[in-house]
Amino acid sequence: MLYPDSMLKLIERLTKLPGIGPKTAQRLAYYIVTLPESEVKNLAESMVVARQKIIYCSSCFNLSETDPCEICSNPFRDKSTICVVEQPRDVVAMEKTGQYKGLYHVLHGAISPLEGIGPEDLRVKELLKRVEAGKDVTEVILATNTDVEGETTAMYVAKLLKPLGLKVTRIAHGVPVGGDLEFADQITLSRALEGRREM
Amino acid sequence: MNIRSLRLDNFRNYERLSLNLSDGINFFSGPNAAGKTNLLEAVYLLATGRSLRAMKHGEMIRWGADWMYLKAIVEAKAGDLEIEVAVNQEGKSSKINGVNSKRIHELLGNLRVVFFSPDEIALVKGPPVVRRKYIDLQISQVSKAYYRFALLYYRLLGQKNAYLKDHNGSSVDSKLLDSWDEALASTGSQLMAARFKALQALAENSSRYVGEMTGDREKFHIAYVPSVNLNLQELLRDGQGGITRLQAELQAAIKESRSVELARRVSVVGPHRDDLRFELDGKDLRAYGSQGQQRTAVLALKLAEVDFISEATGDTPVLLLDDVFSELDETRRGLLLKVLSGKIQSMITSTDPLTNDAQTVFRKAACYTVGGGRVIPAAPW
Repeated sequence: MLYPDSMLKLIERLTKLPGIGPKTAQRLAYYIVTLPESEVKNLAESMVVARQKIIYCSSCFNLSETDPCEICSNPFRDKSTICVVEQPRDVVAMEKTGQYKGLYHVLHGAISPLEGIGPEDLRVKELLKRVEAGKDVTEVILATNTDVEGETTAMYVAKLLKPLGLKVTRIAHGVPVGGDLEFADQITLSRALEGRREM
Repeated sequence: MNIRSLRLDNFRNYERLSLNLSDGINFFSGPNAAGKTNLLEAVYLLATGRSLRAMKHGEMIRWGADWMYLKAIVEAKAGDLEIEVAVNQEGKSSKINGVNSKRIHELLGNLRVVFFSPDEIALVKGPPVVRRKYIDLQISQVSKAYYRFALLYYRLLGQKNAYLKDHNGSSVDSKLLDSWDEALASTGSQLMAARFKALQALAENSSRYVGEMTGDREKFHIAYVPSVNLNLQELLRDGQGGITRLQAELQAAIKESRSVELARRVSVVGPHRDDLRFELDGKDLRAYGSQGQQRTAVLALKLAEVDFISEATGDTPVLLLDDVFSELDETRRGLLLKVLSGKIQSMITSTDPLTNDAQTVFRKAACYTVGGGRVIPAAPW
């Protein structure tokens, strides 16, 4: 037997976490069993508490402890704009810019039939309802990823929203800031050219 | 470009081999199953990230070993290259000048090769997919952008086909299909335009070679045959505007095929269904050509590839010839020898002794005897 039973169980559990392989799980397990018991209890407790307290905001489907979430209930946020993203972590990225003052809508994924994900598995219907109900919404910004799945999702959502008569925009993508033109590949450059703006 | 040296560790029947190559002709002789083709396969893998014969990269690991490693030092006009490929149980990895590439296919377009063996007759006789892969590989060798467009296109197609497979007519979301069709038409038109342009160059050069071999008696042409009736010549008459026109036409054609797609649950229109047609005096070579005419066409096509790559990149490719001399008659052999005596590096394998006309050209060739997992410099004959 390589490990005591309880150790083996811990390693197995850790391996199930995303991005953690057998070797990392083993390292973490060895670390955890050498910690003071109180530390381990704190860790376990914070996991349970987080799991219990975190819910989805019923409006934007971001992770939150309150419903509606802090962003949706903030009176100083601009209610006329909704930024559509794939994942809760994308909201964090947008918020870090400090530039965006509107609301969000988290789809929880992108359309990818190869992985068995269709529009019905995402919060697309909820977005439509929200836009139809909220008369103050004038613009929806599509900020899904620029890979094949993110682009397809953006195009699809745009097709659904356009008939409702509001402004639908896609975040610009192209040459990275500080990037040299000669190192940008042709696809990136042609996208950048398509999305050019007047100065 | 020239391969200066090769290293093969645990590759096929080679446990450990270091080999310096000459800038001109490198001639490898030896009996069957000595490992001559394995040398070409190693170079082909370093150039394209693909195997010539194996379905899985693991199959190329020497029997009894659990890893393999290949390295080539290449002298090129655009700068020297060190290319490495390693395969072990965890997977495959590759490096260019010491920098890891994300995928092994990203090796494409660094070391450029033209490969020719008797099996290449499949280009004429085989199914359309052989010809599509062929043209995609040729263009990818000279354009990384093309390779990336092709990756995008096939990913989109995979998504759309996965959706079609799971949905029947009543449950289908037409707006979602429209979204894929728009993106497929946009990337697909780029692929078609690039293929059309490359084929024009290949057709022009190969018809010149066929002319040389037949004393201008037969007229050779390569036609691009789209999956829907589109006049590419007319549509693509000017650069960027042409691609926009093609995109619109392709999108309309995909839309028109919607009911067929839904019935067959697969996407039926686009560059993934296009084909090339080799024509001799206006007739389809596949159906009406003799064995000899088909071989002439393939040889001409291979020589045209050399021109295509040289013109597109300003540097010659490395020519890999696997046992081709035995099946060529004197005229065809003469043309090939003429190209080989020019400024191009080649690696040639043969089981047969050289014919007299070849001996003259091979006077300055570096010759090697292959056998038992070893490659030994040899006196010419």
